[in-house]
This record gives sequence, structure tokens and C-alpha cells, in this order.
Amino acid sequence: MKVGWKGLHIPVSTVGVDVVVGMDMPVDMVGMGMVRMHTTVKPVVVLAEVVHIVEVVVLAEVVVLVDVVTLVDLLSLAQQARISTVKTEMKELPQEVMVEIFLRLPVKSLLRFKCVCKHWLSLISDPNFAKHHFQRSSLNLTHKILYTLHFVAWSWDFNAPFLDHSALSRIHLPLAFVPANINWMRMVGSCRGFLLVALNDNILLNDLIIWNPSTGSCKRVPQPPTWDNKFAFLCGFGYDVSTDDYIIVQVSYKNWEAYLDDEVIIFEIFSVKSNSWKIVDVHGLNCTYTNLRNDDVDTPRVGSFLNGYIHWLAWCKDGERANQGAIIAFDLNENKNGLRLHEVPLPDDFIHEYSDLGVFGGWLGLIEMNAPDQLNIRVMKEYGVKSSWVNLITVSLLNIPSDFISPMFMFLCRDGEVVGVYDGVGFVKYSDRGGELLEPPNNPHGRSRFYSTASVYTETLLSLPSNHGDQG
Amino acid sequence: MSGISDTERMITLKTVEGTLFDVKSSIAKDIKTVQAFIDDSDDDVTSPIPLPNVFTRELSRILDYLNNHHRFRSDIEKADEEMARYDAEFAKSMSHEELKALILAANYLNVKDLLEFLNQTVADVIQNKSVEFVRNFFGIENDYTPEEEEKLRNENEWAFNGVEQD
Repeated sequence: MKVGWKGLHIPVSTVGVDVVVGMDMPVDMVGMGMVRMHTTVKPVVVLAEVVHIVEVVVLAEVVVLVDVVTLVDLLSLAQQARISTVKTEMKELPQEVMVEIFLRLPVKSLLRFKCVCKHWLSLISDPNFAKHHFQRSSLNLTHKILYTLHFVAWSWDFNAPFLDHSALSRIHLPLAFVPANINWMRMVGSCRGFLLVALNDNILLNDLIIWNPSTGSCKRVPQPPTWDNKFAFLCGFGYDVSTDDYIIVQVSYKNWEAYLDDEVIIFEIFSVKSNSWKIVDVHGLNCTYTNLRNDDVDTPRVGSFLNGYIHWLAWCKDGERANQGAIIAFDLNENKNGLRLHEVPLPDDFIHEYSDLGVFGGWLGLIEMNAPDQLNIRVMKEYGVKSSWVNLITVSLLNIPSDFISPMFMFLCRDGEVVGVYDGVGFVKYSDRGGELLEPPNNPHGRSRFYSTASVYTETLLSLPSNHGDQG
Repeated sequence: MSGISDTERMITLKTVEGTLFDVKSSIAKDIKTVQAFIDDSDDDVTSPIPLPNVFTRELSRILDYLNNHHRFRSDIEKADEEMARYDAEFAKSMSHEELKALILAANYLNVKDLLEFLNQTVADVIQNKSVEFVRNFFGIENDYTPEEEEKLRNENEWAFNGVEQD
């Protein structure tokens, strides 16, 4: 026999046995032409009836010595003889194959299949598997909109056929969110399947929770040390690849007087890994920024995370460009040399009134209201290149079946269409005829303003790098 | 790699049942376990290579798949379309048991493209199915107590929305 025998596996079932559950027996070379079979398999094997060469009875652990050549002959003999039907009861697929199959399943299926058996639960819950799954499926992850109304949350697959209600699921809010504990909530960031949720106070942003709505895991963020009279106007949430860390950024004035006096703005960042806040020194500010128009108090602007930077649409507050718009980008990687804050060019004909920033189809984009009944989305196809701003889509806001004309948020579907989320009402898909409305079913409170919030998120199994302060 | 000349060297594979298959060496290259056997051998392999883990039904399917894919690849123009049609038919032609048996064979023989395709096929079959269907499909016994299972189901309640009938 050739040396190629090494590593070959001979299933017991091929030895013409009538009971045997397909089960591999390791075969290793013991000596010239000899094979040793170890097994702890329970079935009993009798080939004696077929060929009077071997008599194998396996009850606990056996060692059978068979001449290799004989064994091969035996295998074919047994098959040809077909004395008894070989029962080909299926054995389980090897773990590496199962993992390959899991990697091809969406998060929703995997969460359901945690209930199959304990072994699957441990495979699917493994943080390394979660990362692998996220990286592998990064191109076709399911993007969803999380929409809450009166502390009831729905998750909507906005790429599903529009009026398909099975694409809209109720989601449990973590315990920390129940109305007895809070009176207000808003989603203020989204990154790699996690949402940053602000509770209770819409200006100070002192009570923050990081939550993966797919898996339900969540973490309460400790209060930043400078919270006393702070006036936060920008906030953001992102991920730093270089440190494998999730970062929250808040930009604020020390207090209202500091804002009026054009004092320096403060960048505070929270690192999930260190579970602490710190103030970072941002060099290179050409001017100071704000999100306020005419000094009207407004809720902090939510940043858009893309390419390792958090982006905000802001106003220049002083200097030559006072009252002009600007996109500012904050670099989450603190180890790079260079400026942590820079501006991304806006298109020349940009008008700041009624516009917002977002990520559409992987591009940084602007939603602009060009006319009272018309919204426009344009995107920067080449990051940082001013001339690459192009118009993506224009939607008419006429005949929208909602109480409101303009949406709180807009999201781009995979097919190039756009959906809008309407405060307290539901989702609208824009069309030539005006739009179709999808309202969450069994909505216990009916339409109502002021209590809804929405954000896009991706379905992931990821968990946060640190376990400190995790809850339910 | 010319691949399809008449003079191409042939390799003979022998299944569990003893069935012999003559395979072009260009096809055998895609069967990594066989290729490794050939590479490990000092001289030319002339006698049949025994595959004591692979049954005739599976080997015949695998060779059918590889031969067709080689053929599609030689005709760039229609390749993608025809390959997709062939793959869909190929996946549909098997029962669940046959599908799993083929995965085991493809895994053992290390036929990468086919294994990936089969894994995707299984993923597509089970994606929207119930937990019970999946246990049945893979022959897995439920080792949870009813309370444990109930708790897990509640924690992931949304994932049970819109499950297909078995």
C-alpha cells in the first residue's frame, strides 16, 4: 500500500454493517500493512457473516487489527454483497462546516437558532464568531430603521417590500429604558450595530446608553465629569479600528456664557474600553462652531460616522466665515499625527437653511429642502473632493399621507428609492404619486408628536469590548 | 492551463462501493485531497486512488459539477448565466439528506467552490425556517430544558417573527 493512506477516514457504515450510525473511525498506520481502528462507538459490527475474516464486536473500546489490503477488499466486498442494507443515517456536519454555514446566515436567523441546542448557542454567542460574521457580511448586512414611539420600539427592514408587515418587528427595549425610569429618549448615534441612546434630557446628554437592538445587549455610559452647566451642541458615536474601541464624542461650551463670549469649544470623548471620559485638545480650529441659528437653543446635532471620522454639519460662529455652513470631521484615531479636526468641503451652491447631513449608500450626503415641497439628496462620491458632489435623488413632498410635510429622517433603500420617517406617524416611501404610508401595527398610543425617534442601524451580533457596567 | 486536450492525463478514483471514475487531471486539481495524494506520491499514480469515505452517488455529483463548471468557464460569454442556471438545478435536484451527504464528501475531498456553494444552499434553505425544522434537518437533539428554551426565545423574540412554515 502507498503512504497516501495516512489521514484517510473509514466510516464504519461502509463496512456493510446494518446498524451503524455513520461514524468516522480514525485509521492510522501501525506497522507494515496493519491498521488499527480505535473506537468507542456503541454499535455492534459483524462482518463475519459476509466474509469470514474479521470478527468485530464493539462494545466499549476495541482494537481491531486488519490487514490493510484485506480491509479495502472488505469494504468493497461488503458493499457488493449488500447482505444488509447500510443504514445511512446522517451524521452531524463537522463544526467547521457548520460555522461556514452560520457565516452565511443573517443575524435574525442566528439569534433564532441559538435555541437549537447548547452547542449552537455557544458557537453563535462567541465574540470572535460575531466579528468574523460582521467582517464577512459587511457588504450585505441587513440595514434597519429603529423607530420608537412612546417607548415602544419597532425595527423595520426598509429594503423589504414596502407594505410587507412581516418586515416590521416589535423590539424589547432594555430595562433601563422603561417609562418609569425615563421621560424622554433620542437616538444620537449608530455604529456597527450599536445605537447610542440619550435619555431624559435633550440638551445635556448626561444619560447615555449603548445598545445593540439585535442582541439586546446594552451598557450604561457613566456621566461625563464636566456635566454641570455644560451646553452640548454636537454629539457622535463611532469606532476606532486601530484600538478596536467604540468612542462617543460630545462637543460643548463650558456654559451658556461661554457660548455668548465665543469661548473655545470643548471636545470630550468617552472610550468604551477604558470606560471613562476625557477632554481632548483639538488643534487647528480656524474658527469656532455652533449648531445654533440666531442663538435659539436646539438639541445637539447627531454626527455621521464614516471612514473613521464623525461628521457634523455646523455653522461657523465667528471670523470671516461667520454664519456660513461647514462640515467638520473629527478623527477617532488619536495616534495619528496631524489634526484631529478638519473640514470636508461643501458644494458651492449649498444653502444651509433646512439641511442635514447623513450617510447614504456609503457616501457622505446632504439632505436639502430646495423648495417648500421638495427635498433633495446629494452625495460626495469621492470623499473629501469638492467637485464630486452629485445629485442623488429629488423627492416631492406633495400629497404625503401624513400630518406633516417634511420627514424627521430620510434613508436610502438599496434599490435607490428613499423612505422618510415622520414624527409620530410612521414611514413614507416616496413615489410619483406622492407616497405610500406604512404605520406600525398595534400602535397603543396612536399618532402623536414629540415622542418618536428613529435611526438606521445594521444587524450585528457584536458585543462591546469591555464588560464593565453591562446590564440586561 | 489548457485543460481540455484529448491527450490529457487521466486519474482513476475509486469509491467506497468500488466504482471507478476516470478524471482529467485538470479536474482532479480542483479536488484538493486527491491532488495532495498525487503530490505526495513519489512517482506517477497509475493505480486507482481509493476514496474510502466517498460514495459513488456523491463522487458522481461532484464530478458532474466540476465538469460543467470547467465547461462554463471556457465559454466566457455565457458563463455566468448558464452557471447560475446549472447551479440552481443542481441544488434543487437533491433531497436534504443527499445535500448533507454531498457536503461531507466535498468537505472530505476539499472541493472549495462546491463546498462554498453547498454551504450557501443550506443557508438559503434554513434561513427563514423554524428551530424545529433546523433540528430535524441536522439531526440535532434539543438539550435545553423547556424553561431554558423559553427564556432564550423571549430574549430573542423578534427573531421569531415571520418564520416560514416547515
